[in-house]
Amino acid sequence: MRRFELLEPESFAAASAALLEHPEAKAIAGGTALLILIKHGVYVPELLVNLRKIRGMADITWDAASGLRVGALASLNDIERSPLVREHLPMLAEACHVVANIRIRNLATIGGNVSHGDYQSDPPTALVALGAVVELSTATGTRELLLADFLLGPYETALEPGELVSAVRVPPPGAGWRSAYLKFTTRSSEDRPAVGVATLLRLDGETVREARLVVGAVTVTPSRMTDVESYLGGRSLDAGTLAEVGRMVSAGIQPIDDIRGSAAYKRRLAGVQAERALELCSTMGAAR
Amino acid sequence: MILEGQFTIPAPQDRVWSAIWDIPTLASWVPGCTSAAQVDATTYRAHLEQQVGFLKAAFDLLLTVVETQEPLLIRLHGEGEDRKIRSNIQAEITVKLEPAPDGTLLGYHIDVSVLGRLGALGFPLIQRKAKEIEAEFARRARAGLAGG
Repeated sequence: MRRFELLEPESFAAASAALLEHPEAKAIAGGTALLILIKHGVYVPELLVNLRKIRGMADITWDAASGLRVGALASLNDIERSPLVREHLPMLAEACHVVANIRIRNLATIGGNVSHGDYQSDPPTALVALGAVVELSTATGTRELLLADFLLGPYETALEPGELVSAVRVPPPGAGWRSAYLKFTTRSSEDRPAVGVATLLRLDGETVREARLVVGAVTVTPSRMTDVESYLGGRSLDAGTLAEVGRMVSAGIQPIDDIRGSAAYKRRLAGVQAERALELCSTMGAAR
Repeated sequence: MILEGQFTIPAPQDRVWSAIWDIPTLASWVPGCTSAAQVDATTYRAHLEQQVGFLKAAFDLLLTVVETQEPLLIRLHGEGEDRKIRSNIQAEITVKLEPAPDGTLLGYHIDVSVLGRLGALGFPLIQRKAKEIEAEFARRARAGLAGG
């Protein structure tokens, strides 16, 4: 490994200033994603800004009006185990729980997870389905962006120079919504997803009033399937409806070939997983 | 990875052929190509820099002309290396020109392999980047020769 500089600021302002001053610098928190790229030699850092010494950025809070706010340095394990997340947004707890293994989840932060912009990840799919917003802060101010607009492509986000994700916010889902996140791996159970599907349903008896369906890990950013959402409105989730959803998802998505499956395989898999996720959501998904 | 496609350039075939052999012009059509020069009658050097998010690669390429049929076809062999991230690129490139009602139809077939660390980790990203380069090359080539 080549030598690189490491800065360890103790305040958010100092970290932001360092990133602004050194355009080649990269922020690192848990390091679970970045260190793999460094060890593989694909990313050769010149300067890393370690965020771990910054205090007060890992809080998880809930407000009935504004919803959940997760500080960027909260670990995926913090989120998964948070009583607030489990009570109000169980799908997010599940999407964090299925990431890799406990050692990774203990280190990986939610800010790092979304900032890394890797399409093969579970939490972003659930967060996009939940309408999450990222707080992007510098030493002087904060702006907010929908996560769906923040993720631009592989390893590409809307972060401006000197900006860091300071928190992820999820609006309250409202009464009567059920949710489910379903991951499918093609290698080990700890692997990154070959496909991840996040779905939310508001049911009236057997009838779908509103639906949200996001397919992740097959396209460069999570894909919200709005045509499927419209199709589901007013229908019951019988075998015919589910089969049509599977067909629509397979037809409507343009998967990437990668080591977790060919594009053709993932196209079929995305449809099947969408059917399964909806079924899971309608039968098991906790109603809120 | 095979990249192939075709697009029409609004210029006569002889003009497109000349532009392809004008190395600074050709290099200016390839996004990320920061320098290009002729080494001898059939060999060219080029430097290609590409970025996917914060991941960067910079290849020193050696391009050899394998076959020429003026003004119809060129076949090239290209290879290069990024020493920093220990990755290699190899490409077999065929470019065909034929007259079209509104100019010249440029067809290309590129069989490209990315080997080494980048190839092991980043195939989908390389594929996506290649598509972007492809689209931008076509746009620049059309713009560069428009009005001819």
